[in-house]
Amino acid sequence: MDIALAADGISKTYGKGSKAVHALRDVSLSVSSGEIFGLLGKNGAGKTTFIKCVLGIVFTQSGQGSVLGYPFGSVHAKERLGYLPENHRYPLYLTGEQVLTYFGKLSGISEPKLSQRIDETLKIVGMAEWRKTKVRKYSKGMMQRLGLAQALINDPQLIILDEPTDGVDPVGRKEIREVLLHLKNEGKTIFLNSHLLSEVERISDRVAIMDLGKIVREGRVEDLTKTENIYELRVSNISPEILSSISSLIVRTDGTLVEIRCNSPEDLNLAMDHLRSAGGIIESMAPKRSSLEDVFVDLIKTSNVTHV
Amino acid sequence: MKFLAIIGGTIREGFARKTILGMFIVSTACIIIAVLLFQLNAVQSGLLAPPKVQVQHGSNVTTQQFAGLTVLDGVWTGISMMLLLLCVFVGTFVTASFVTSLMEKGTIDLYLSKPVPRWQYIVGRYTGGVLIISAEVAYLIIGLWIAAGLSLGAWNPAFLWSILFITVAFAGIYSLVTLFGVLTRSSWFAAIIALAIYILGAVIIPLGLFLDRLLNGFSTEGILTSVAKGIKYTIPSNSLGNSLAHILVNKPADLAPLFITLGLIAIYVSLSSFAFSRKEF
Repeated sequence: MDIALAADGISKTYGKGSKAVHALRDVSLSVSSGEIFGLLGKNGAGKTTFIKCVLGIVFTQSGQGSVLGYPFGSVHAKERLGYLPENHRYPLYLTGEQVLTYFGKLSGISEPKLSQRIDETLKIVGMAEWRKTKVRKYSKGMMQRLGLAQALINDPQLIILDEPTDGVDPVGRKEIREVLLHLKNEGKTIFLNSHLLSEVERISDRVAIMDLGKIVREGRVEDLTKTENIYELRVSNISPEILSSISSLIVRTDGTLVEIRCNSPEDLNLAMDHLRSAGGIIESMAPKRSSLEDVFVDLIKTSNVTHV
Repeated sequence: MKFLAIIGGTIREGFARKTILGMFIVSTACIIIAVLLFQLNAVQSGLLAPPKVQVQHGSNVTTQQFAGLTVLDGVWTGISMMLLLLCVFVGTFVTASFVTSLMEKGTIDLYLSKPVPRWQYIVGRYTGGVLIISAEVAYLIIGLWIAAGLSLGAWNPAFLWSILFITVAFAGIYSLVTLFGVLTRSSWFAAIIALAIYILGAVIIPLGLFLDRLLNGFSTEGILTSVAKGIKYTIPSNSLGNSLAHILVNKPADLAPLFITLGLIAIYVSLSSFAFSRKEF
């Protein structure tokens, strides 16, 4: 699979001497084409700085990076890239349509394709009926949608979104999630920067967790959220006698839910055999998963990255 | 096309501000007042008469006439000088924020994510600002010129040179505003520094002469005057008013200030673009 974005040992420090802030420390990650990649971290973890390095808004001090086959900040890469910044601001005297026309022209799109793209993107983000309204009358959620339309105007291969659901109500968030999944189905690569973990968990294929400028964990969402050796069983016809047959394995019970720790598949099968032979009826079995939020909080707590 | 979009965006931003529209309204009012004044017989005969100056030699007072000139030529000169100063001092403040607004938080990220080389933003914004002021100047001067031509039959083409000289004078100072705007991100600070340098350009040689006499006792030009002359060549828009005044009264004009300013514009806009391309946001 092609690599849409790759970073190898990227470091960035703001300021000098005692006032130096190490925003990025030896950051390495890669994003494959066609996937949704979530970069997670607390405020100030370095997520936005990383994106700014990718776009050449700030310059890296060490390491190498490539985006769509070009070095970070390349104008050629930006032709095939869309970006929704955090706290973006558009000229208030323009209408939504005029904003898209302006940024579409800056993206190098000319008529009649530009008008066609404006229609398409406004439709995608559900803003078609507000196209002639001045931006100053837009709500925060509408601004986010317009920002998303702006990021999509050049039909980009890679879409970088910095807190795309910030300030958006739950319905709007769901709609934005659907837009992102639709884009993924079209083969677009999405780099999502967010501190809203449940949002990221729902749509990302892979995530990286950043703390104090360092990547502390990277992987597939299901791998990160999988809890080692703990399985959840739904057992009906449950009784204390039935449970006593596997009491040494039980981690927790809650009604018909039984959580057991098994170190091997053989142990798991054995436990299920015991339950069945004692009269229990197993309705379902699945490895237990933590939420991404649990994983994130645990990682941040145990992270040994310190301020320098 | 991207570059034209930047210029177009700057002009649109300019017209979204009431000050620039206000300037056009004031210019229109000036043209209308001029048309009305030109209808008065007294004004017509007065403007088309040759200018006279009374010179006193002892107890004798003689009247001196300037052949080939009219009072209207003097009026054009006065209007041009006033307009030049207005454009430099007012125009600078009105347009100073075009460059700094580009660098505002929430805006700059959007611009820098587009496939546009950074220098194009600076040159585009600068060009947009200059075009707005030149349109204002051209509108007023051409309006007055046509009004005078139709009402008085006086079509002095030299007056139209004012458009070029005033625009270049503004563009010269605006290149400094652009440079300081990029460096400081403060439009007010940039405008004040640029205008302080412009004022310094007007007084630096007399100041050098004064300091030479005060510190070194030179009766003629000394080292400080030479240094002042050198510094003067780094300040744009200097002496453009003198050159324009000469053109308007049909005297041989020194065009060096025009070319020096154009050269300095190229240097300062290039420096601004370079500084912007190295800047982090």
